[in-house]
Amino acid sequence: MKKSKANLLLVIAACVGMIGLFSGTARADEPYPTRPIQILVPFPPGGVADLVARPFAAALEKHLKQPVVVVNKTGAGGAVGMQAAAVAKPDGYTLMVALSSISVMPEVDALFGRPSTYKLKDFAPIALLTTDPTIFVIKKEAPWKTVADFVADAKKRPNEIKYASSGVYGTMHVAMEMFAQAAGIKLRHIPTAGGGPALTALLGGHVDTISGGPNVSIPHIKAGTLRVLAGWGEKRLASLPDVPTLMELGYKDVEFYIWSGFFAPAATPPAAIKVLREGARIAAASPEFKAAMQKMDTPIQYLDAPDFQKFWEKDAERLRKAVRNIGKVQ
Amino acid sequence: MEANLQNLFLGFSTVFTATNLFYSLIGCLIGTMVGVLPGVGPLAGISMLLPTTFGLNPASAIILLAGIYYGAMYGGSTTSILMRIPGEAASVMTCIDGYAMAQKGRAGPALAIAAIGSYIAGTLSVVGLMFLAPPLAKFALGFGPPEYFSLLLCGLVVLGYMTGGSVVKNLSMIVLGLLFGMIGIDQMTGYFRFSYGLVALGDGIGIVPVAVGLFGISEILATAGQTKRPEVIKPRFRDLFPSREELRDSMGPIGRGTVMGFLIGIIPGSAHIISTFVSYAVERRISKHPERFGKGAIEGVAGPESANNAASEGALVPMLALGVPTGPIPAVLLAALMVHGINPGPLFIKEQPVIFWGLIASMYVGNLVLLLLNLPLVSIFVNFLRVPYKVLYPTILMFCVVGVYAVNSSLVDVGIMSIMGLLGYVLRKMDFETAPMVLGVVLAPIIEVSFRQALAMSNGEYSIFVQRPISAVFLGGAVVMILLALKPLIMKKKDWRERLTEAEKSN
Amino acid sequence: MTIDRASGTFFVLLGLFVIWERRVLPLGTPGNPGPGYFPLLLAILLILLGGILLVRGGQAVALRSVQWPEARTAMAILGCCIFATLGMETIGYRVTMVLILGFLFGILERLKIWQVLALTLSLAFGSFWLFDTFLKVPLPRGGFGF
Repeated sequence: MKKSKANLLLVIAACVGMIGLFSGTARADEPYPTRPIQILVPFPPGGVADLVARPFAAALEKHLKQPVVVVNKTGAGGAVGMQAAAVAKPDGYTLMVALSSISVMPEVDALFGRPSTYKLKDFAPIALLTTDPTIFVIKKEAPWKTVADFVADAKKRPNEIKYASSGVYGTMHVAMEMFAQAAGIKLRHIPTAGGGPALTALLGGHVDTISGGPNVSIPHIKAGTLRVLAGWGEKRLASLPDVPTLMELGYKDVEFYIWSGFFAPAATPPAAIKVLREGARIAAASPEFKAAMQKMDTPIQYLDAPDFQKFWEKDAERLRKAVRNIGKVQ
Repeated sequence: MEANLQNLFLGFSTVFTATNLFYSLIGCLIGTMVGVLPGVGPLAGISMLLPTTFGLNPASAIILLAGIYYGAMYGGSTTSILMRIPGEAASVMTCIDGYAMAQKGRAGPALAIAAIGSYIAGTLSVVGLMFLAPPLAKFALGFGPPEYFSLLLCGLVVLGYMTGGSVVKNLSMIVLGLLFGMIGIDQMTGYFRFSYGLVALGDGIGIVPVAVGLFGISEILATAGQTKRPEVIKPRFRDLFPSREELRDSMGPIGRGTVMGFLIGIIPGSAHIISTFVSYAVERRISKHPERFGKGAIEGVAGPESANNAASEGALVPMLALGVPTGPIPAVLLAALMVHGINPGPLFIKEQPVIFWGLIASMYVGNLVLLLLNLPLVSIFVNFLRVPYKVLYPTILMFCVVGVYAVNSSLVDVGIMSIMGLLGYVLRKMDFETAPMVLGVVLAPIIEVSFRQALAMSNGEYSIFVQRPISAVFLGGAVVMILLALKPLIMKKKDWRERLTEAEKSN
Repeated sequence: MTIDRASGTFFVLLGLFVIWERRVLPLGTPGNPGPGYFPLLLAILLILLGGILLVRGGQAVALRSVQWPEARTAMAILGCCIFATLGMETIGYRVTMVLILGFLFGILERLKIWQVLALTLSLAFGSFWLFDTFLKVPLPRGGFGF
């Protein structure tokens, strides 16, 4: 037994020695960045956040001359990844691309009286990248021709018209509830496991409408199986210029975007944040990023940090009110 | 028909370019490797390579990714058979009879039949995909929450026949699995259930840590310390090929597995693993010697492996025909296309014939490549059994840990795997069969959510389950099967009472 | 005490535990089941099944006769897994694996020192290269940056 123990200690010693040989930590006085940067994406690969983050990371890498790696850390509707980013070392090497749902989750936690997994002030906003307003989609055979038709019908039979969402307090749920609140109608909510299943439910006729993301709905609209009545944005969508916005139709303050933003932990040194802001500006304007977003029909809406902060606060307040109005789903 | 053949020519001409053949080969290779590594499954493999496909043209990208997808189904059976560790979650059923065969020295035939069955299922499914995609997809859309619930309930009843051993013990395993599946955020209301503040448990305990832990880790725990290792019969060269009898016995299960797997695969939201369970249960039910199952019945390998491959291709049907993803993997494939500016929708087949038919053709080619790749590899893989176990098991342990970690970069998953390993070890000592528990974990969220969604749709009316035709059919089927199962009990009792009455009379 | 009785007791206790834990979750009505509904149903089912095992478990194999010869090794291996779970992100993948494999090969299995070194280093570094470099799955590098 003694001999094996000694051998094991030898092995450990050898390893520690090699660690010393191979370790390379950055020295403090070199200009940032000197090491590869990690961008956490709290959503699964192939989702909106992921598809925005990857071209963005590639463009950023070109500018910063350091590898920028996207890491998916999924779970709990994004909470796992967001929490990881909130507690990450604020040295500027761990960053995050997240969606508008970041503002919703602490509010939901407060609603349920449980400690929130992160707070909004744990993050320093660097740049807003894209904004995608959701759209009001119905089946081709549905009887309503305009939003007014729909609202009148809903008032006649409250809690009868069904809509699907990507999950309770998710983007599609909050958006639809915001509209329902403003229109004074009551709709029946069927949560599903995600954007894909929600769209499937609509296509199969199991629900009557969804407030869906444009890029997955547009192919079906073009093919004629689905129709769109309105959009949740402030302006009309470039790809659907004939579709009015809900604000145009008189529903004030019903604005909802699935936006994606670039964040860093709040305590990141200001020098690093300056470099990142500049990098984000250049990356967002780069032809490769533009081309990638164009291919996916995702409108780029770049806002630098101070403007993004204002946008974020306003949007967060809107979402907070909406969530509080929804209350606890029972 | 004419148009289809013409399109098929177009597809083949797309595939038989040097680049696309190359990508198909790479995809199949990586898929096999990803399938062999425990824990890491096709989803992880596809996600890892997704960024590298951004620079390729769309046809090559989808050919590469699809190759990984169905390639992983081939590779997943390897570790299942050789080491009773599921290479990827859906290969759990193959562990049972496949490993039993390996212990009898029939690892070669098991691996070979798995490859052959996968090839036949894969190729037949492509034919189905080719001709039946649009109508099948429409049918699949008709599956709403009530249909899901009834289908899964029916499936659970079918599975009551599944494993040997006491019915009560199997049922308790299923219920235990269902309970474990309840952990996580309740999808309908947002409550955290049984997660004790660990955000990482919000999505529930994953199927991968459970499968690898319950089967792989528990196997290591049970075998590593034994002073007398179970004698593994080293196969000779001619033992590498399946006997004529084995081939003959496998044909039925392969055919049935293909059809069942394909149909289950096209239903959005059903996991591939369900097709393997159903295939195993059906084969056991209709077999003339059900007691052979669990001890090395070739049907228990042929059926599930074919179902697996068929389901993975069936899952592509709604995605390609309608642009509707049936699960996380087709969703990533969809995203890969979207990045190139192609939005699969109902018009995809018409508007992008190059990609669609190129993909179809690549699947024919890919399946063939995988068969030719896997058969010779059988002799290499079988030699794994020759490595002394004391060197083998730490290696396997390491691969399990890193594989499970790699899926979600989460150490919580590794922890769950360890706990499941311990649980599986103890349960085996207590003479429980652990496979039903895996099924419970997979099904729990789907069954519960479908039930509650259905009730939300009908505003509380239970009649929705019988009002809708498909749902009613499945429920009826479940009721019939329960009655059939109870029949011997009732009939025997009558006999017994009759005999007693006669005995009394004659007195 | 037979194995069936032991497992039956375990199930009954687990079912009761679930019922206790789920008291924070609202039940809802049969027409609108809440998050606590299904767990309650399943817990009751588990208790029932556990009860059946308890009652009819008399004919099963006796608990004492169950052999646990490999338990010590199994616990050591399990310890390795838990060590990995707790420590891998703090001290990095390669270091953790070297320690675990070194322990398993060197202490548990008593291989010769050069075998231990060769296997441990090649497996730890090889698998790291396979996953981190080739498959691009980031593996934790730990506090040493290693």
